[in-house]
Amino acid sequence: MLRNFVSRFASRIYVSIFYLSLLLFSCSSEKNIDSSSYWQAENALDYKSSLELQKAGFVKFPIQNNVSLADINFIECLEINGEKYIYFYEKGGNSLFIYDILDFSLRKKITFEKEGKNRVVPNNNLVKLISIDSLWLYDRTERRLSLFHNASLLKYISLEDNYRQKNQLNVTKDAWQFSYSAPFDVVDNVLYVSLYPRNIGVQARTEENIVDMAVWINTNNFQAGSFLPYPNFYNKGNWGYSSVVKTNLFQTYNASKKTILYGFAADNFLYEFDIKKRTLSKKFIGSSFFKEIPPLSFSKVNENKDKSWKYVGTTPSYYRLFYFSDLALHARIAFLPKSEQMYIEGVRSRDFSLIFFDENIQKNAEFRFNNSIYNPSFIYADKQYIYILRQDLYDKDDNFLWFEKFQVIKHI
Amino acid sequence: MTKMIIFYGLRNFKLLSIFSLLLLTQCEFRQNRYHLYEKNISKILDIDRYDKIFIVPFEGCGACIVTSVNYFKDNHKKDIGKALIFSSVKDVKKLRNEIGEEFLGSVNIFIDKNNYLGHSKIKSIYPQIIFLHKGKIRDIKMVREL
Repeated sequence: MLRNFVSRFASRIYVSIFYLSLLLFSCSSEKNIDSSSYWQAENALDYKSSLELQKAGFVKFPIQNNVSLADINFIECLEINGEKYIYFYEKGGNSLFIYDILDFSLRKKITFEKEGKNRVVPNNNLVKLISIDSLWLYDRTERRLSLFHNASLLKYISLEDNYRQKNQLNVTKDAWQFSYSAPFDVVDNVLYVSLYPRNIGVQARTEENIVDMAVWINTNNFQAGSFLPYPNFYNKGNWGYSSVVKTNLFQTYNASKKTILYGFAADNFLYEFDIKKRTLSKKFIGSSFFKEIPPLSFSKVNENKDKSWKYVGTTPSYYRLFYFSDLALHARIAFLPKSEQMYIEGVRSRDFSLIFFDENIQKNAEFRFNNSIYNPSFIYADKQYIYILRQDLYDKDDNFLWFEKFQVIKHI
Repeated sequence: MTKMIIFYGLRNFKLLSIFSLLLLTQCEFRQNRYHLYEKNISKILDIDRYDKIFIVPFEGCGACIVTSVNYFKDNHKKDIGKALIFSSVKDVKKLRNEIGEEFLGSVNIFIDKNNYLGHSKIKSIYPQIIFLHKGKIRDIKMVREL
């Protein structure tokens, strides 16, 4: 009887050990898959710190009663005939606001019609001013690119009819969109655009069907071409789907070098496109606060929304790129990791860092900012100063866009 | 009859135990969840004063938000026993422009400025109605249609 009991007890232990080891094995096997993007110490942790930011006060731009920050994607600068402006498109009123950078006054407001020949459908549209009166506008709803003189339409092109249906470009076969968070640039009558890869995170790709993520469009004849292949490491996992993605592409134009710098949200590398030579080169610029940006999962399967939001809300990623011409400096924003506990408790903000690097793509400095105080979508520079929007001051007095001024001091 | 109940009861004892355990776990889970709601709502308003609280997220299901706000305006705007809390509000100015300053200024309308209702066990893209009795939650209903 005792022997019987012992043998039954032992067999139960064996079964338990078997299941336990199965469980442990299944957990550990996932960690062994190497899907991370490349990382190196140089230009991430190892760099000669040669910049200092010194607080230098505040400036504020008055905004109208019906204009709210939530309806503005980002601000941009225009420098023309020695005068500098900041401007933004506001979807609530379907209007473009242009401010004088020196006296903070509203220089011009252009309100677009919602119907008819000159229509612009209010949405997260993108605008690029080419003069104080003329602009290129990307209408996200109609997916068309238009040239306006003030609010009058001069010409337009439909992305759907002219590019996607003709299958002319090596881009995703889905209805492609311009990026939400990156401006497009116009250089010598050519538009350079970053695409918004909505579904690409869950689409398996082979070496043969790698698609490009950047597009150029000649504004005279609307001929177009694509370049900048989707980085291969993205193929090893799922970095998100729909609006919850770390596959976004950002760009900035460097007028002195005539290059456009591109960066993906989960990629430590930047891609420099030389406009004259039509060549791409790869440069490493990483944050000192994290090494890798892990995928949401290791399979190309769409995950549920809760899991996706938690992933995006807690893990790091790169964001916008800038070129500050007066300072001859670039900057890259990195969103820093946040603890799961903070995310569960509903802490919305995520700290970010501003990584500065020179025109040779050598890192100079990295500064951390509190996201409940500063807003990284609203940054501009003028002379030796950079200006970052103070979210906390706007929350207290929303009649103004408040910016904190920082003097950039270079140590040689 | 009694013998039959005892017989079947003993025969299905394991099944009954599992079922009871599941029920208890579910009750415990619901109580913990309700407690979290009570704790976080209390940071926004005096929970004892209301028998019904509408939580309306300002981002998420757009049509549900409009329906909930209109329903509250039509039925409970002047009812001091009912409250409405706007949650997930990133920009109060946008909320004010869309909902109207007068309605937002009502005594029973609140804004969750610190995102207490953004806790992942409470957060929903749909409006929720909290039914209360003396500061204790009796039921929570998700509003997809009113």
